[in-house]
Parts: sequence; structure tokens; C-alpha cells
Amino acid sequence: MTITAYCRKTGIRFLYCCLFIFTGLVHLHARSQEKLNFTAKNVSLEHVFSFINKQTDYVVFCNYELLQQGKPVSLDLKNVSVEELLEQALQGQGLTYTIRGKTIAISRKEPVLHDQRIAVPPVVKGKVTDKVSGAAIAGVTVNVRGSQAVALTDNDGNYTIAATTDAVLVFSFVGYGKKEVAVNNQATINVALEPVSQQLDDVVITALGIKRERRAVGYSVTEVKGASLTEARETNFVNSLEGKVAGVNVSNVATGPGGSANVIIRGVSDITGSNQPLYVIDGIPMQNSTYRQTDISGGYGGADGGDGTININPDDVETISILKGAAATALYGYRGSKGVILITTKSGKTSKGIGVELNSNYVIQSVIDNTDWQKTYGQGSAGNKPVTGDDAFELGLSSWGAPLDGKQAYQFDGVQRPYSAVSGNMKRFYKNGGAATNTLSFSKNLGADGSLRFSASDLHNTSIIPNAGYQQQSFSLSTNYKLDKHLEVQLKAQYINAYTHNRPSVSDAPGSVNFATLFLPPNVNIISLAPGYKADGSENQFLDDAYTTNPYFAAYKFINNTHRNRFIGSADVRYTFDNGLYLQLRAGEDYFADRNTMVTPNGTAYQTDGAMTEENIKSTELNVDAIVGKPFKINKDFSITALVGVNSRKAVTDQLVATGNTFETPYLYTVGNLASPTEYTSNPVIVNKSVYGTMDFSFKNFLYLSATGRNDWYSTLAPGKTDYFYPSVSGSFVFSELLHIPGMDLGKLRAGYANVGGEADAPYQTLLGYNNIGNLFGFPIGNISNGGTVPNATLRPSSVKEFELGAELDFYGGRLHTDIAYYNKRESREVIPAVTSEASGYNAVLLNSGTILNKGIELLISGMPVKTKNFTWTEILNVTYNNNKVLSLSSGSSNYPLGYSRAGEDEGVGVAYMSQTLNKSAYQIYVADPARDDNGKIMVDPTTGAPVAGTDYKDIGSGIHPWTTGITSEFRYKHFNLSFLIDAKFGGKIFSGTNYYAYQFGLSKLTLPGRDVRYGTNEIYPQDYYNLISNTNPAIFVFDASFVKFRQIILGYTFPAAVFKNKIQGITLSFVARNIFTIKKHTPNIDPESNYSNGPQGIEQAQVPYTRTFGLNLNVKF
Amino acid sequence: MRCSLKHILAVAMIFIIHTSCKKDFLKTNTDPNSVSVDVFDPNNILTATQLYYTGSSDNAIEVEETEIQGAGCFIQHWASTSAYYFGDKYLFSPGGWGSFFDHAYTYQVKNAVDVYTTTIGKPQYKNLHQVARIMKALVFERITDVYGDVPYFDAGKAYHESKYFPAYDKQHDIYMDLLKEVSEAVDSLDENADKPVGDMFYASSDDQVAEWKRFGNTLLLRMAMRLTKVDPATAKTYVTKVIGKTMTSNDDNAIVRHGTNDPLTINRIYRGIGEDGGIQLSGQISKTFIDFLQSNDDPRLPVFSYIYPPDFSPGDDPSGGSAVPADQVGLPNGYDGGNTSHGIINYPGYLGNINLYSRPGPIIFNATAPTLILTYAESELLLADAAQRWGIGGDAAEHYNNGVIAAITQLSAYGDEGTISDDDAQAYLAAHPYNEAKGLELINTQYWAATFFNEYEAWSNYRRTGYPQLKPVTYPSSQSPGAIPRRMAYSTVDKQINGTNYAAAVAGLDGGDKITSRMWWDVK
Repeated sequence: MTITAYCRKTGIRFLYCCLFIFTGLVHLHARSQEKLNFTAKNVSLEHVFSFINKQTDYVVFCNYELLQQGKPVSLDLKNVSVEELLEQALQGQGLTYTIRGKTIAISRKEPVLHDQRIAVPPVVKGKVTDKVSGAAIAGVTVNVRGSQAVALTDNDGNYTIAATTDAVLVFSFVGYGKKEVAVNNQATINVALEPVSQQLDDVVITALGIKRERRAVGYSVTEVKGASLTEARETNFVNSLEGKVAGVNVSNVATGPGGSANVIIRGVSDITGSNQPLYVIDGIPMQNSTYRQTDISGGYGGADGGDGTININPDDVETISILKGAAATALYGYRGSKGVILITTKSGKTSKGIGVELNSNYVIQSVIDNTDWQKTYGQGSAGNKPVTGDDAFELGLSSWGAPLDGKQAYQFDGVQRPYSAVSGNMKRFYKNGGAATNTLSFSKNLGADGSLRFSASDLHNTSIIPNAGYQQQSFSLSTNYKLDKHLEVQLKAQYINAYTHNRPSVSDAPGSVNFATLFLPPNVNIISLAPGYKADGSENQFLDDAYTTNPYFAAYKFINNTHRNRFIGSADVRYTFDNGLYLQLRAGEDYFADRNTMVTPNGTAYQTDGAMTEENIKSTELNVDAIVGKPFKINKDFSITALVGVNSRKAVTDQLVATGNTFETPYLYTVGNLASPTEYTSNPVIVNKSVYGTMDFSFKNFLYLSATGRNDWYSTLAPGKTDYFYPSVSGSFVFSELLHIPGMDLGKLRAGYANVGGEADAPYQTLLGYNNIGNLFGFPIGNISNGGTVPNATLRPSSVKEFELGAELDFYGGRLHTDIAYYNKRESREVIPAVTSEASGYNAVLLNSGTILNKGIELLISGMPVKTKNFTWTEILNVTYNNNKVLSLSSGSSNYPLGYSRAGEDEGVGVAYMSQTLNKSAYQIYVADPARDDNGKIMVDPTTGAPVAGTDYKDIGSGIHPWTTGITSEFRYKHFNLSFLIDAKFGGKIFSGTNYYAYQFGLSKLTLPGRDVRYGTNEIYPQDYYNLISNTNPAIFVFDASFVKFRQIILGYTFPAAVFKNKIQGITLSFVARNIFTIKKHTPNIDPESNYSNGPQGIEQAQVPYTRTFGLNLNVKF
Repeated sequence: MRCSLKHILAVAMIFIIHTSCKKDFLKTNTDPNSVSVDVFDPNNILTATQLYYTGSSDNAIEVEETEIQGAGCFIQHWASTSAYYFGDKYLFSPGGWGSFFDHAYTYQVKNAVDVYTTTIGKPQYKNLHQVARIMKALVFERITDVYGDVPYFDAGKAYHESKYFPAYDKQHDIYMDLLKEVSEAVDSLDENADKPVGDMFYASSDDQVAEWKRFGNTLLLRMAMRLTKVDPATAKTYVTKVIGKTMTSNDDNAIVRHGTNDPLTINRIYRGIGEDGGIQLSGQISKTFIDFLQSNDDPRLPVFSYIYPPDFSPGDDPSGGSAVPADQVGLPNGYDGGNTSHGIINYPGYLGNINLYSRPGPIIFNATAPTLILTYAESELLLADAAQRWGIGGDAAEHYNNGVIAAITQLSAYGDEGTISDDDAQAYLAAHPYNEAKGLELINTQYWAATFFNEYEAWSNYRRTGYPQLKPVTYPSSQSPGAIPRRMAYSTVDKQINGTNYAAAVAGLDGGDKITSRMWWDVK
């Protein structure tokens, strides 16, 4: 069967299914909000309630027992309100309803109290209030445990119920924890119910933006409120998630403002590619390209080209829903296999009238100097000071001089200065950075018809690095409108204009602001290097190595800028038939245009004539979805919600690059001024087509099952192998509905399994192609265009299989909430460039090879130890353990090197490298191992006294932490709130290039002993001895990267509206701080979170230093 | 209204599914920026092979690292106090040892094998195929000469034969096959078949096929002579076979000219060491080489060597320095930049500034300077060696004379400034006539002078003959104490990835994977 035929058949199969849904309908006519139409014969109450749930913003809650007792209704109502509909439906049922906010509670109408024929038990009265606000709560169900007796509180929160003196009253209401009180002869029982904390929201957003009851969901979903990211904020909002969510490992990428973020959900599952999750904003998959990352593979570092998430303004975010496992993300196909972060932006729905909100955030970023260098010896060699300026110039960063004596000594510029320590070069070079963010939003709730919100935001972030920073203006518009009773339209648009000014180079010394700054000898003041250039504009070299750039020259003369224009827009049309069937058509596009300008200026010591690269990148992803769905009621206990959808995705990147060196007219940095610019284009196009469906089954109110299926066609796979089907199933069992466990509000077990298949990350990998890449005296220079990777004409999709188990337990009216998850995720047949021997002519071959297993446990516990009207104390703890193991690589290979450290880099090979290794966890750090004798003892060269160089590398451990944890403490006293976050990671290692170089340069305190002795029979100098050790036994630079950090603190005060005579709804002023201090670390001279890559973790060197942030946040609501 | 909307949505869904079926994914997944082998001219890959033979376009990093900083210093053409120049002091340098391995296979072997394979059985590319075959042998000969046993039979075949982890073949087997391959290729070249247009060596010559025959035979001569120590019988057989068929003048020299595109077409040594218009100040000419040229009044000295102005910075105009032979000072090998007993500042007679030492001059050391691949001078000196050694192939003195003259006059390839008159060359020869008693030393010392900037060849010929007589350096932590290294250790990258085959190769290596171990043809 040809693909086309198979496709067509599949398509038709689904179409039949759609038609079936069209015809098998109950006749219901519906409207939402104020005016509803409802026509139905003999339908259950549940049907009416689910109709209200679907068609309005209200959520109906009803005890299942009551529902079961309900009689079928037949109604024919036109243009009625929700209240009218309910009254009609509940007539004669013995039931009544209460509306509070957007929730409708159904309860028994007449308490048994009024039945005069029965012996009247004593009457208990009382008032139910909100424990936090003290306000009365209307509609609370008061039930005598073990009996049918039920009462409801009135509008003032008062109730009356007949109960025997030994009875136990059960108070329950939506949004509050259940409370049980023994009567014990009391005539009056006043009760304060506790609002349930946010994590216990009863509705969660799942894949495709479908809202589902939390109890029904068979996999782990964590929601984070946008509001929690806006106060103590990060330029890239993703970084503020660090330590907050179980199973989500966010780590710092130390590349300065405009750099990328690194998020790994449920472990490293991709052996070579990106492990970043899929970001979906309002239903539209977002581009999170990191097309220019720092380069761990070559060790040179370079600059971080940023990513896509940096453009998201957290002020526009309503909620973030994190779908971790494959069962949760199955509807997104392979792209969701590394987790999905669903971002729902704010709408105007919650505003009262016209809402105006201003959020202003001003923070100062100051450098954290982790270095603790020796201050005993100065610049020099073999224990001697420089004797001339030239001598100092040649000695450069060598701190192997004489003991600092405070007398005059020459420096590189020929000037004599005191030979004494001038500590604090880092604080002298790096300025205080700062970020100002102002977001102003307007919103309007149009009631039943829709809502509108518009926001404008400006972010201005100056880096701690001189002459660098990030700026962003963003505009966001969100509208939804009901055109008529069937048709609802939603339009969302965001426009972002961002400018990254001078992305800093990390790791290697050329063009780096960080390298020389770190390693200047103790007696050299960095100010003497300023301004970094001579009168003619060329670099003012301070040492005899063209490749170690003067940091001031790097900061002020190098250019590495990105201008980005981005537009993310979506249109969503939903047509709902009277019977509940809906059709939805959604199209969304994320388009950005980047212009990158990178200039190595004229006069750069290592590239005098200068060089330049100018890139224009236009990248777009278009997604079109059509979805049809409908709920079905099989009988009173059993219902099904079905959904079928199709998706078409097209991702196109259009890249035009001009690059070259030598500016014909010096200091004129244009492509046209280059002596011989080279231009090239690349145009990757990826097309996916998918058909997917989901069936949600529910039985009574305790058993839920969801099954999904997705069929994908991938353009990037081998011809004839582009079409695959993947299933998932998940379920939830709410056992607390069947067992009565004292104190337990919710007890739920869940399980899920999914199989997802995936495409190759990039197109054009199935065929060998040829092109020409230049011309030499009329000879076209041919080229195999696949680069170093052998194409593969038999590529199949990869496979991710994940099983997860979990439990959620809520106790004591939401005072204690626990969520535990276990997962087992196996990615296999990954389409990776399996590394090959270079002797094969290629570095890699694209193969379906590689298996990686992640097993882990996620635990979330939140508790409220104290809760009074004026004071609450909340603790939220999350703990994650992830066990990660590479089970197979390409055949014949047990090691997949990912890249060398630049430290000790000698002709492309460093003293350390990162690797994926068979039967080890991901990102293993290998270091050169000295020669050993038969007993494994390190062999020492008697002539030098230092270890003999070996040619083997030793595996030290993984750069990824298996344990991550965070604990948030929140205190609220009247109008004050205080929260802080302590987070920690354990078990990962890091190879420190910074410590390596400090050792070689004689800056490290470890090099202090034995400065005045000679080593070995050759009596070599300490500088040579230590230098040898650094290269022969670099394991001494691998550290345990575990840490505990005091990450964040927020202290806020909310001015009540009354202060402003209600003209302003509220003002909250907060003091905020992040990265306040490190409680525990094991990495001398560096921050343990010093990775500079958003890919492999575990190698650091001269990245942008960590910063401490503190400032103020002001939020005003008009 | 409702009905029409329903239809629109239903149609939209069908459309989305339907286009997924109709869509020609194969077309979507074909790179618009490339073509398939059916329409591509393999001549362009020959061009790439010849260009990459002079060095990769990866900033020519292996030329910088393995050839100049390594072999060039071993053989004392070059010297440096910088630790990057591991060859100066035979330092531990896995990256420097292996860089050539890593780049030679992915640039030279990959393209040579591709053009060779895609032209098999295509009559329109009959000669191109044979030229590719010779190029392939040229490439492999150099790799095995640097490392010893290396992947050969299965190498470069990842795409065409799905061989991803090639075994390391015995150098003996490699050499026997190279000799066979080049012989067959030369015999198969056909005057009546195609003239390979991608051939930068000889496309512009009057008789391209004849030139390739001479090139092939000269290559056979060089390969055969490499076996003088280990297998003189085979060596003699092949030398005898090619006598009279080798290169006849400098016009036969195989040369790659370079362009200004950095790093694609630029001169590789300049790219690697000079880099982007500047000169990396750390690389100097060895005292050994300068002293040889100076003491012999060699007319090549002002072409090769130059004292740049003391305040010269990379990219500056080099004029104002000196090419005057008497001014030239070579840097001694074996010193570092520190202030220890091995520090250059403690070298007796140190000039006080490293910039005052001779470096390769702007005539030969610039972006567009040509690369000499295989020359008539080498050919004649090898014939002189054979004649002296075995009395075959004519008169040793005559070949010596031809070789010495050609090695001097071949510098005209560098333009007028490099051109040395025949009279000056003859005068030099007259002052250094052939002397049979010291024949081999004279011949191979001249070979050393003739292969400046062709460092692997100079080093290989030294290992074969022991000439010129070099004084090895001593230095703490030297990996070859007091002896010129005999090979480069293998690539660390391949050791990790192709571990099993690597281990098998090392097992067959006396002394292990060290720079002191000797390869098959380099018997003591």
C-alpha cells in the first residue's frame, strides 16, 4: 500500500468517525452566560449541569448521590438565565442551588428539620465564615454525618440544622476544605472554613488547552500562577521556575542578559539533541530556537544566541501548566515528549468594568565574586618580578613572581606601580546591572459577550558587563467575543521588539570580557587596562598573547547584537451546536525575524583586519488545527467525552548569512566593506500532518479513563516511512469517594502510559546532496552538503514510552496537600547522528539508535501549619529524584563524546570532555588520567616530581544533578506578606576550567606551597611543576556541584483599597531579591551553577559571573 | 448560516487531512540548496580534494597544529618558545598529534573516496576516475607516513559502504596496495578519454594525461623509496619500473594556487600560523635551518626568511624589516618563554626579544602563496638516492644536480620576488658539488631544504634516511627525550570512538601509541 493510499484511508476512517458524531446527537439547544436555550427530553440532571459547565463560565458542583437521585427532566427553554434554567431543572427534585462567584453548588432543598412528624432532634445553629477574610459564606452544605440531614447557609452564612447531641456536622463548600465538628451538646456552632490553596484548584489545563477536573486527570500536571513570576522576576521568565516545580530541572545558563534558559523535565532523554520542552502559548506551539548556542562541542564557548522564551512577558501570563509525562503530552506527539509548558495568557474575563493595571519592577544586579585567589605573590616568573615593561607584557597572566612587597614593579605598560595586591578586579570591571520593567494593561469584561485585554510592556536590562544589555518592548492583545449563540471567536496577538546589545563570549579568551578579568595577577589593577584601545582604535594589548583579549576592548569594541521582531498570533473560531457538539478551527503563527551582527573589530590583536558576520534569519511556524468534540452520556453513571482533531504544522527557517574578514576601509563595519564576503543560505522546511483523537470516560465520580491516539506524518523521515500511530492511556481512581478516611478531602491514585514517536530534528537528512561552496581560479569547489553526517534513507521515527504512577492526597480542608509521582520513561530508536570514527570520512551517521532511560520520583508536599484570620504560614516542598541511564548508543560505540573543555585545550583536545556513555547517566565528565602502574598508582616522573602524562581519560561522573529540591515558605500577616525560596541540587559534578587556569597562572591558593623549592631531579620551577600537574592530573578540578541556595525573598505590603477611597483597587509594594546567598557549595572560586551551555551540563570556564538581584516591585490596580 | 459554517469547518478538516496525503514529503525534504549525484559534476569534488590536501577549511587547524607546530619543529625547520609548538620540545600533545588524523579523513579521504567511487564505471569520467585514484593514494600515503598503521581499506566509506568504524590496516598492506593502485591508475590513464576539468594541478597544461602519468610515476618513486630500509627489493622493483617516466622539469610540479577566501581558498600554512592577515608572533624559523642556509650562502635564504620590524604587530605592513641574509637569526629549538634554565631569556646570546628572530618571509608566507604538492626536485633527489644506494636509474650526481637546481628555481612559483636566477642556482651548486663519499647525506640534506613548508615530507625523508643530522633537544617532560620523534600518536577522538580497532592497532605497535614508537617502514 502506498503512503498516499494509506493516508487517505486513515483520513476517511476519521471522517466517518466525525460523521458518526454529527448524527448521533441528542437535541439540545444551548446558549451561554446570561441567555441560554435549552431543549431536551428526558435527560439527566447531570446532562443539564454539564451543559452549564460547557456553555457558561460557571462550574456546577453536585454531590453524586444527589445526582443519582435526580429525576430525568424535559425542558424547552428559550432565552433564559442560568438561574431560570436551574430552577426549572430542579423543580420537584427536592434540590436547590447556590451561586457563589462562578461556582454553582447543588444541594438538598428542605432539610429534614421541617418534617414535623418526626421527633425533632435539638436544633444546632451557627454561622460559617471564611477563615482568611472572615466574610460569611453562603451556600455551604451542612450535613449530619451518616444521615440524610442537610442544610445550606443563607446569604449571611447562617444555618440551622437538626442534629442529635452526639452527631458530627460536616461542612463543605467548593473552594474550601471540608470541616467536621462534633455537636457535643452545643447549640451554636460557628465554623470558619479555610480556602483551599491554589494548587488545589479543581480544574487544570491539559493538552490542547482542555480544562479538566483535577480529579479526572491520570497524570501529573503542575500549575504555576503567572503572578508568582512577576515580582522577583528574571529577564528570561523561565529561570524563575527554578526550584519551584517537582520534576522540572531549571538551571542557570551563565551567559548574561539575552541568553537562553535551560529546562529539563523528567531527565535528559535526548542523547544528542535539545532536551528543552515544548512551549505552547494559548494553544499555539511556540518557537524556542536556540540556533546559536554556546559551543560546548568545540570548547571555544562563544556567545549564547538566546532562545524563544525570553520574549514572553510574565505580566501577560495567567497560568503556566506544566505537563511532564508522555501521557499528558501525547496529544502533542513527539514534540511534547520532553514535556510541555502550556502558557495561558491573561484575558479580560476577570476584570470589573475597565481594569487598568500597572506593574513596575526595578532591580539592581550586582556581581557575585566567587573567587578567592592568593594575594601573596605577584606577576612574574620563577619567583621574580618583571624587570621591564616588556618583561611584564610577556609574562601576562603569570602570577609566579616574587612575594608581594609593596615596592615598585613594572607592569605591561612600562609604568611602575606598587607590587602589592589590588583585590576586587571583578567588582571594578563589572558594574552594577539593572533591570526596569513596566507593564501597563487595560482590560474589559464584556460580560456574556466576551472580553478584551491589551498590554504594553517595556523591559530595559543593563548587564553587569559594560556596554551590554537587553531591551524589549512587547504588546499583547487578547480578545474573545461571542458573535451569536453558536459562534465564538478568539483572537490573540503579541508583538515583540527585542534588542540584545553585545552578547558576551564565554569560555575561551579571544574576544572575552570575562577571561582576563578573572585571571589578572594580584598586583595588576584592571583599571590600568582601560579603555582597552589605543589612539588609533586598535586593541591595547596588555600581554604577549593576541588571543587573550583586553576585556575593555572586548566590551567596547566587539559587536554582537541581535535585533528581533516577533509576532505571535492566533485566531480561534468555535462553533457549538445546540446539542453540545462543537467544531473548532484554530490557526496560529509564530514568526520572528532576527538580524545578528557580529563584528571582530579592526585592531583586534588576533585579527587585525577585522571580521564580520551578518545574519538575517526569518523563522516561522504555522499551525492549523481543526477539532470536533462532544460529550456523551451513556447512562447516569457513565459518560464519555470524545474529541477528534487534525493538525498541520509547517516550520520554515530562512537564513541568509554574509561573512568575511578584512575591512577595506578600517573601522567601517559593513558587509559591503569586507574584502571577500561569503554568502550562504539555508532553508530548512519541516511539515507535519497529524490526526488525533481522545476519549475521556468517567464512571460516577471516582473512576476516570482517558485514551488518546495520534497519527503523524513527518516530512523529515525516510520516504515511505513517514506515517505512524501512537496511543496513550491514563486513568484516575478517586478512592476517597468510596472510603471515608477521616481528615482526607481527596484521595486519588492515577496511572498513565504513552507511546510517542518522533521525527528527525532537522530536514534533508535522508539523501546525499552536493553543492559548490566557492570558486578558485574558475574551479568550482564541490562539497557534500550533508556536512559531517551520513544521510540515512531508512529513517524511522523514534519512540518514547513512558509509564507513570501517582497519587494525590489532600487533608484537613486543604491544609495539607501531597502529590507523588513515579515515572519510567524510555526513549529509544532516537534519530541521532550516531558518532562514527572520523576515519570513515564522516563524524556521524544518522541512525535510529540510542536508548536512554529515565526513572524518577517527584514529590510535592504543601502544608499550612498556621492559619488564622490575620496570619497564615504555608510551606511548599518539592523533591525530585531522577535516575538517568544511557542504555545503548550506536552499534560499536560505547562512548559518544559531546565536546571538549577549552581548558588545557591543546589542538582541539582538552584535558576534560563531556560524553554520553553506555550504562552511565547522561553528560559524563571525563578528565585526562595520569599514567598509572599495574597497581593503579599514579606514576611520577622523577625528573619533574609531577605525574607522568597518560593518554587515557577517566570518568568522574555526570554533570546533571539527580536530586533537585526546593522549599518555599510563605507568611502572611494582615497586609504584609513574606515569602522565600531555598532550593538545592545534589549529586552532579562540574569540571572547572576557571580553577584549571587559576592553577596554571599561579592564582589558585593551591599553588602557594613550595614556591621557593625546585621539583624533581631536574629541579624544575614550581610554575612548571604545577603546570604539569594541571595537565596530567586534571581530576583535581572536578568538583561536586551540589548546592543549597537562598534563592529568593519577597516582602510585600498591600495597601487596602479603602486607603485610596476605593479609587484604586489596590497597591502592592514589594521588596524582592534573588540569588541572595549560597548556603552550601563545594566549588572553590566558582558558582556551582556555572554552566554556560543550555545543552550539556558539567563544564564551566570564564562565563558571565552570577549576579545577586534586589529591588522593588510595585503593582497598582485601578 | 449554521449549515454553511458546519460545512466550512468540515471541509477545512478534510482539506488538512487531504493535503497531508497529497503532499509530496520527499520533495519537502529535499534541500533546495543541493543537488543529487546524478546531476552533480564530480570534477568539483576533485577540486575540493586537491584543495583540502593542502589543509582543511576548518581554519587549516591541522596544518597549524600537527604539521607546523609538530612535524615542522621535529624536523627543525621551525622553532618556538610557545607551548603550542609541541614539536619544538616533543611535548605531550594528544590534540596536536591527532589533529591531522581527524581532519585528513574528513576532508581529504572523504572527498577522494567520493569522487573515486562516484566515477566508477562511467566512461565520461574515465580519466577523472584514475586521477581520483592517484589522489586517494597521495592522501593515504601521507596519513600512514605520519601515524603508521591506519584505517585504509575501509576508510572514507561511511556513506558509500556504510562502514562506520574502519579497522586500522597494517602499513605494509597499505603500501603494497598504494603501489598497486598507483601503478594501475597510471596504466589506465587514457589520452583519448576525458580531460578532468576539476584538476587544479594540470588542467591548464598542454597534455594533462601525460602530466598525470609523470605525477603518478613520481609518486610511485617516492612511495617505493620510503621502503629503502624495510623492503629494498620492492623499492628497487618499483623504482626501476618508473625510471624515465617521472617528472622532467619544474613545469611538471604539482601546485595548488590559493585565493583570498579565508578559510576556504587561502594558503593553509598562512591560515594556520599567520591567521587572518597577521602573523602569530610565536612561530620562528629554527636556528638549525637558518644556520644551514646562512653558512652555505644559500640563495633561498632571503626568500624563506625575514626579520620583521621589532614593533611589528600582526597585520602591519612588514616592510622595514630585513631579508638580508647576514641579518637572519634562527631561534634555537628547545626553549620556553619562562625564566627557568630552559627559558629563552637564559639562552646565551638571546637577543632580548623574540621578535628579533627570523620568521618565514612575506614572499612565501602570505594568503595567496601557492602550495607545492610534489616536485621535480624531490623526484630527482629521490632518483639520486636510488642511484647512489643501488646504482640504478642513471647517475647519482646528475640527478643530484638536477634536484638542487630545481629546488632553488622552483621558488619562482612564489612569483618574481621568489624567483632565483639559474646563475645563482648554478653558483650554489658549484659551491656544493656532489660528493659520492657523503652522497646520501648531501642528497637528503638537500631534500630537507627542498621541502621547507612541506613538513611531513621533510620529516618522513629524515626518518627514512637519518639526514640531515639533527641534534635533538632535551627538555623536562619531553615525550621523546633526546631523540627526534618517529611518529605522531593516534587521534584521541578515534581512540574514544573507534576504541576496539584502535586497541588492535596499538597492540601491533612496538612501544605502544607513543611518538617514539617506530612504524613498519621505519625500522632501525
